[in-house]
Amino acid sequence: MSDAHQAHDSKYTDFWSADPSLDSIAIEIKPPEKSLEILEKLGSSPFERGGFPLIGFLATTYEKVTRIALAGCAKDLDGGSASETQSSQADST
Amino acid sequence: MSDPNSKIHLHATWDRTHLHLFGLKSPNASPFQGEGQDCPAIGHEELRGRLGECWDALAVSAGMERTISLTLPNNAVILNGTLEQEAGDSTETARPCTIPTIAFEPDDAIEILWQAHTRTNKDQFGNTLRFWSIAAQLTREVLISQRYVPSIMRAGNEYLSYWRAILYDERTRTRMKALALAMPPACCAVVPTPSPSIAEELLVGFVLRTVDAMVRRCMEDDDLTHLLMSAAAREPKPMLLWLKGLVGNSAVVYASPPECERLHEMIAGWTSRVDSPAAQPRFLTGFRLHAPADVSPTHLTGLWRLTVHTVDREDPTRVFVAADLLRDESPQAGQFPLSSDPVLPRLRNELARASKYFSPLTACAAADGPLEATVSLSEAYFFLREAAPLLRSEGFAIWTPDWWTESAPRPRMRLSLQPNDNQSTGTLGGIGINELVRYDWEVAIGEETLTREELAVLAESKEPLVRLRGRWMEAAQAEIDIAQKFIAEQGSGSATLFEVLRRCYLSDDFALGVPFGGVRAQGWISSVLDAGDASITLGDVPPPREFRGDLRPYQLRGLQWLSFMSRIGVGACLADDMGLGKTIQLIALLLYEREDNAAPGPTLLVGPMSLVGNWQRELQRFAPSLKVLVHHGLERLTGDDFVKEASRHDVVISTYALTHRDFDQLSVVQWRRVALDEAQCIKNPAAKQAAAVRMLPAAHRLALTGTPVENRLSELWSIMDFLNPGYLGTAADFRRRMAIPIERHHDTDHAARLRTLIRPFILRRLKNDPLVQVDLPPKMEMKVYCNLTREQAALYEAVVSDMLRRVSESEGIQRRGLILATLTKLKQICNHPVQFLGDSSELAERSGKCERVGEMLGEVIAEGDQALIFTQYREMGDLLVAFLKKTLDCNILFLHGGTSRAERDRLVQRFQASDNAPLLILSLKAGGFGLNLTAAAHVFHFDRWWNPAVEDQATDRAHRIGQNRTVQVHKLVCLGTLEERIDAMLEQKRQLADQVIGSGEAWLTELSTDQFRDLITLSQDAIGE
Repeated sequence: MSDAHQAHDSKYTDFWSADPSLDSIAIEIKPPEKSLEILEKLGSSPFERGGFPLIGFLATTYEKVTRIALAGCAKDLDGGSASETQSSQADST
Repeated sequence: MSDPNSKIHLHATWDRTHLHLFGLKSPNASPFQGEGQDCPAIGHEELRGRLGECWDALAVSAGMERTISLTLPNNAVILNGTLEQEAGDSTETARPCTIPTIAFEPDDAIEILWQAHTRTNKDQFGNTLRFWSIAAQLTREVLISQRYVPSIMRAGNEYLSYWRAILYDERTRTRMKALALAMPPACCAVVPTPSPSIAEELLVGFVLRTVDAMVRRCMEDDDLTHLLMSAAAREPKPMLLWLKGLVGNSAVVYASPPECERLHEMIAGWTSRVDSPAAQPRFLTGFRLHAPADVSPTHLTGLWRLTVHTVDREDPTRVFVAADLLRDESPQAGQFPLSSDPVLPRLRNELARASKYFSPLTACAAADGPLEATVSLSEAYFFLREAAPLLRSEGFAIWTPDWWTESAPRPRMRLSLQPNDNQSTGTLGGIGINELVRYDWEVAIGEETLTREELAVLAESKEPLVRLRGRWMEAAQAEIDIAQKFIAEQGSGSATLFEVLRRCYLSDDFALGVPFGGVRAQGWISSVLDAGDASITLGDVPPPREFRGDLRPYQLRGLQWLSFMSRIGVGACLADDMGLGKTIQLIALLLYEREDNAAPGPTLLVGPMSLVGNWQRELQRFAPSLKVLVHHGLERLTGDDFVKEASRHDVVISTYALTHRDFDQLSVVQWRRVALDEAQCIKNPAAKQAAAVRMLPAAHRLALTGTPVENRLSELWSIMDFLNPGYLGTAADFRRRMAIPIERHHDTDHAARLRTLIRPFILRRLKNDPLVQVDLPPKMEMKVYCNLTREQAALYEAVVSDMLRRVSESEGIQRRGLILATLTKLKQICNHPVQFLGDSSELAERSGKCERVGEMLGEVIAEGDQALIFTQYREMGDLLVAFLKKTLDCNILFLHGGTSRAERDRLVQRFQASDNAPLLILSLKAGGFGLNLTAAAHVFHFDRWWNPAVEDQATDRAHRIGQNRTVQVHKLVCLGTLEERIDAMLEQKRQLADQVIGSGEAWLTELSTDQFRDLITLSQDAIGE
């Protein structure tokens, strides 16, 4: 790379940089304390009976998605061990 | 191609729909291609190879070859995720370079990013890729914690099923903000003209899209999904079509628009249960109506504009014009970064919802529709009157023009009166109810009186909104038409004031629905109509020289009013509250009109029998110079003797009963005036007495009453017909025109019209009137003189005769005992024969005191006041309870010596709480000490203790600290009996009485027999019948 090019590039160091605070943002990857609590909050189906079992369908959906999302976390491309719960950083902000 | 051994830095960017991965040849490469410079990124082929080194082939194969441009405005600097302009010019021009990328759909992007996050060796990952992999963890957290709900949204002409992430809890919002702040500037550079909040917008959009995409992906091959698809294919019900859109590749709901709207409503309502207040959309939708400018009254064309706005729910002062959203990459979208849906689609949804209430918004709801509507005048009116309230109740913000009021001002008919040009002013000549006046009917809307021309224009326009005097206003067309027709037929002319006012009352056109707006009068007419108004000067009328007493200022005003009404020949009703001195105001009038040796002729004063004695005493007290004739009793004058004597006197007192019985002789006298006291006695217009008084000829008529006459329409007609015959038409006519609409239908317009019409003839002041209150002492004591009935008189004389003989024949202790016994018997007789006789016979009409106190208490209750009645005797208290219950039909409380403490407390509490208990009877002794009875505005001493200190103490029950109004004290005294004489003695020797009368009536036993005889002998004027 030419010197001119390098000098031009140096202006854009910050352009590609993330704020250091990125490393301290906590994401909680753990199963819900009470599964399907959201269905309790939603209550009964707004549709008349006799149609498709909406609540049952949603219960299946929620449980399956939770399982897959948790499993997706376990995959480790470099062969490292995987754990079911993981956070991006030990301390949350 | 670059050296395979050289380090390539993998970056990622999200362009709202796809995740783009690309490789830079150097860590801080410029995104711009300067003159002679290579592109800083590697090509597709190499990029795929590099990605294959980091991710499994399957994941990478899902990516598509694309390109992006990272752009920055010249001289722009991105700091902390926001775009800021650098000061000063830059000579450098940067051309964005086209960067080859591998782009991934949202669900594939999540796979890539999840894998990137777990990778331990991230040396090749640039900060942008690191950033998005952390953002993808947020998506994972939402999915694992099940914080999403099935939903539906409108996008243009279609409805789309989607899984809506719930991002509004405080913790999530905080982390989203923190992530946005940490975003590398390069991530924002994918947007050509980013808003200041571009970072948050991109981040939220990323999480929303990826949550929806991942749920679909998870359920793609599920057995339940296959079942759902089959069911939807068999029976394409709206619910199934919606569910199908949640799991299939296509999110479109293939149901009809009405079905989709219904779905939208149901689902929105259902899922709102899990939304916290913070989960609501960040913005409200609102509408503002703009009137066309420069419209002439005769050309009410011109289109109105309804503009659409978005309002920041968190800061309602931030209002944006929605039309700006149609500009590409409008910065407004960035104002609401944490909306769960993009702004424009949600706005279209809202417009679709609003169009149910206002159809011109339908076009705005379309995906490519305008965000402003033009409407006609009638549509604008419909919006203001009908749609706006509904939209407001549905949560939309509405801005209406300043001139618009929620309740439309109705046109009102107003009567304008002016004196005739040739009438004199300033003197009482040419003034009166029978004088000619000019009248004009006017139409007023709100405060504006319309000219005839303006009225014609309004009538012609036929529009609900009109422009008048530069302002828009609502016009009730039907009423304007009625008003115009009325004015055309009866608009103006000349008639007597009496006739004009009557026409105002009689006009049936009002029944069609145009309310009456009152009377505007000029000159002397104003004085006549507003004579009762304290601010109107009625001439200089000083207190009469012969008046033996002082007139309070409001009483002097009353005299002025009575005098004025008398001189202009208008019948008048003085309706002051009880106790304010109606009697002495009339007495003052009688004296005033006789000043300077004037001889106006006699006044016939008609009242209940119970008041005859009272009038005698009051006239004697305040106007001893007046010659008074009492026409009452068996010895009254008849025939020519009566006529001759009546004409020689100033005042003739008579009763209602005699107006009918002696009508032939009463009607012959040339009365200056007929005055009725307790005028409500003629409330039954068909009664003989009422008919008789109406037929008595007189130059002037006057009525005194303490009841709120304007609230009692049957009384009102009768009294008004006596005062000014024919003014309110016949009784049947009045009932039809006024009584039924007001009393049965509670018609306020009719009530207002009636008040206007009778106002000139009634003067009513209340005790709590500020102008009156200031003149009233804290306590007003009044004597109420009552007559004995014939039965009482007979009993009284029998006792006097018997006891005098026995007293004269006794001495010492026996004599004292006889005197006290005599006093007791006579007092009992003055109270009621039943108290003396001790039997349980009929109570009514046997006691003058009872009849009078019943009448007065009726007035007290009618005024809404409460009263205490003190009596010395428990048995009289029992009689009063029975008598008053029957007479007044109300609850009567009685507190006496036998009342237990608990019951006493309960009674006092009930009375003080005004708990349906207006009257409390107390025996003087049992009244006890320390009772707080300040709820009473009236105190009646039914019989006298003749010890002022004891009476005052009883009175003070109602006048303790806490009483903030005048207390009226009424002391009942039987005329011509020992009560009157002892009372006179006490008044004359009050000081002595304080010294001598220490305890009870013992001092009376020291009187000589002659003194005792003088004290108790019944005089001629004692008997009322």
